[in-house]
Amino acid sequence: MGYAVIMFVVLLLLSVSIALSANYGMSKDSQEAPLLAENAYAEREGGKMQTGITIVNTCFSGSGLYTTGSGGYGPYTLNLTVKNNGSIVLNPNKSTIFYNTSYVSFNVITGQVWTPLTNSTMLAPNIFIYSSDMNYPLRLEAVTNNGIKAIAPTSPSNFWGETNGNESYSFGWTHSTDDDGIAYYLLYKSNSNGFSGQCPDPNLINITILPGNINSTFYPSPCTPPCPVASFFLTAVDNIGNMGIQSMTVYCWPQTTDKPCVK
Amino acid sequence: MPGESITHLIFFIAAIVIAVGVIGVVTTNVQSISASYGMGSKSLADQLKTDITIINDPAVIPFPNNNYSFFVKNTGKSILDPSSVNMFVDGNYTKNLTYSVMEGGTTWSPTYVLMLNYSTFMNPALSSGDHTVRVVAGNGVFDTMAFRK
Repeated sequence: MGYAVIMFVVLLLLSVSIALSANYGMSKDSQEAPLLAENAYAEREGGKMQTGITIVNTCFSGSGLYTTGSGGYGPYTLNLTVKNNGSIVLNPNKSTIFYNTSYVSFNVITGQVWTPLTNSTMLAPNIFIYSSDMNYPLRLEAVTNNGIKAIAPTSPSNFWGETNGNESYSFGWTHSTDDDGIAYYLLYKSNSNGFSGQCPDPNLINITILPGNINSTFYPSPCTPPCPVASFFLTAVDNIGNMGIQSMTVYCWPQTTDKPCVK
Repeated sequence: MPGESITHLIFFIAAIVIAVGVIGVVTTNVQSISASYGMGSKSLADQLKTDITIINDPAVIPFPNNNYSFFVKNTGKSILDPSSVNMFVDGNYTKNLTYSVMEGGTTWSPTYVLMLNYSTFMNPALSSGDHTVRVVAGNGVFDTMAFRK
């Protein structure tokens, strides 16, 4: 009787060990799969925390001039310079760009290997600017391959200017908006040839920093009549350092009397 | 003595029969547990490998042709099925959800962007103010974004 009980216990242990060893083989993959996925998850979430980008420069190149008028202007190419502010390498080709909330395709020109603290230049072709956009706050957003966003300030809208005789210019606009706040505006002045449609613009003669979220400025620039025509536009930069889309361009011709600039 | 040997033999055979029965029961149960654990592991692994991110600018949602367009990027490592995606706006299930993969084709590969259209003909119009959108992938992974209209 005792012999049979011992046999039974031995066979029982044997059966359990066989069953468990068979199960081990089956479950090994099952155990490893979530572990690998867990590592991938940790890597991904950690990567997001180490990712940051800033749109450090925007510029339109291409035919035509960005002024008011009927119909659309273009096609332009939107030139974006985006800085990798994080601590991991990003893939600029897998980024996403929205211009005026629309998804736009683009080509990466520089920074294919987008290492931390370096810039990548992205060109989004076939951008048309319509007369209805001229006084509309245009939006710009870039998104990294892992979903981290950089949202630029809206463009300054309703930009207008006038000459104060031949002594100075006055400008006004509707504020740009940005969730991070506007740090400053950049006022671009071009020579009498206007803006060239190239980035960087060889006709550009001055960039003035206008601190704060202001909506008007006074620009002294005395000249002796007949003064040359000068053209101006604005961009806003937020407190993160993101630069938005430029305003429309105005053309000013200083004379002995006050005159509005032409949009 | 012969009688004792026969008794031992009977007990031995009975022990083997019982042990074999126990092997069957234990193996079946363990395999069943293992299989369900395996399925659970696979499901968990799928979820951990899946990540989606709503990448709209929350200040302005595009509204062409009476459709609000929401853009969702596949920020995980799995290829996802766009036809199994569900969307909820302010907690309400979105009916007649249409979609397109912005990079072309019908495969929502990693880093690709899916555009989901919320039709105001088929769903309630959105009032001015704050709203939330939740997009849920086929395996239950989701992302939520607050936006303004």
